[in-house]
Amino acid sequence: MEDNEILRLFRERDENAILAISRKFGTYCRSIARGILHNREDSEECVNDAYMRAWESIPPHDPPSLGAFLGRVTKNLALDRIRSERREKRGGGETALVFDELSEFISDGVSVENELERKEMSAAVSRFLRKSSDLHRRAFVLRYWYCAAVRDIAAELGIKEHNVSVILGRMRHKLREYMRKEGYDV
Amino acid sequence: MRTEDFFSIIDGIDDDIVLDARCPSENELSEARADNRRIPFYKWTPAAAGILCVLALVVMLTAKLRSISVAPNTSDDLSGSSPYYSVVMPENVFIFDLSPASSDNEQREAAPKRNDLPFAEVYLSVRNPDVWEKADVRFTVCAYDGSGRLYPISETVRADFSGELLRINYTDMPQRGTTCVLCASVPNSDKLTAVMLPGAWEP
Repeated sequence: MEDNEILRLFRERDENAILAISRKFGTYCRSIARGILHNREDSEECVNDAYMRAWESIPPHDPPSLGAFLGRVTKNLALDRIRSERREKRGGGETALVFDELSEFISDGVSVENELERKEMSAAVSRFLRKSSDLHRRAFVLRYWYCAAVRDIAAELGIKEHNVSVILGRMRHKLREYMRKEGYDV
Repeated sequence: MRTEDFFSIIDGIDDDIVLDARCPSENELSEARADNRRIPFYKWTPAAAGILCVLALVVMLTAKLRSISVAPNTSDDLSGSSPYYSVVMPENVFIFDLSPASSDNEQREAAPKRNDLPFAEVYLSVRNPDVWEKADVRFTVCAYDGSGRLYPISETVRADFSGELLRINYTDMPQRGTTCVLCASVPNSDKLTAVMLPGAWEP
């Protein structure tokens, strides 16, 4: 079923919309959740929560890409769950490593003032990624968007884990330089 | 800036960049084939779409749903110099788990009885399941021994995305350290049309 057809079901408050997104994007969302939570039951709950979030937000929200929207909601719900677990000192795992990498990369003391600035910075990161090679862009997104383990990224890209680490290090460095040139202090 | 601020900035990158990260470019695929590297996903191309549509049409017109499965006695057909056998997948394919459902290592190593065979659980996500089901794609788990040959080690099942979880029974237990791949074939074709997941499996 096409995305616009599914969105129409949402707008008409037809519960078949949930079935449709489950069928079309269930595995994709589940993979994102499992990549972060590493637990099947938690992942299932997280994906179901994402469906509910979609049901509650569409309409009025009208996502240009339903897949990316659901993926984003799933990821953020999974991260919320991880943060909650970290507060309870029950883990962190790969996501904690990703956070650590980013915390080394960014400087303290600069805050993002508002949503508009955040969007502008996201757009700048997108421009940076578009200028990067396919391999580097995918490695970066798989690590910092999907929170994938270096081992899994290496398998997906067909390169060695060491090479993934090198690529990510260079990408972080280049991104910081790029953002500074664009006028953002990260 | 707080780490979570930056995380939310990364979260807001363009949708197409996010989605594209999960499938390789044609350039990468070409390079990988040339290098004989392991590539997990294959990308849809118009040529492959055409081939599959023609195959589906032939199947419908003849009304003969002949199954050319990747059975053990056809393993020679699957041999070659590379574990990657031509063609591309008709969709972006995501496969996440090729491990047996059982987590009992002893059971895996101990050649189970036929009715105790563990499952290979495979999660598939395709953008247009109807295309796959109309093309009558069949899936088989194969073992790759590193010499260029693939050996079917499971039953062959038809594409059915209604449940999304594809469960395939092993007919032969893979040895420890075997590289397992999920292969797709279509009826009326005497060759394997794709090898989708070069995922090393460590029982």
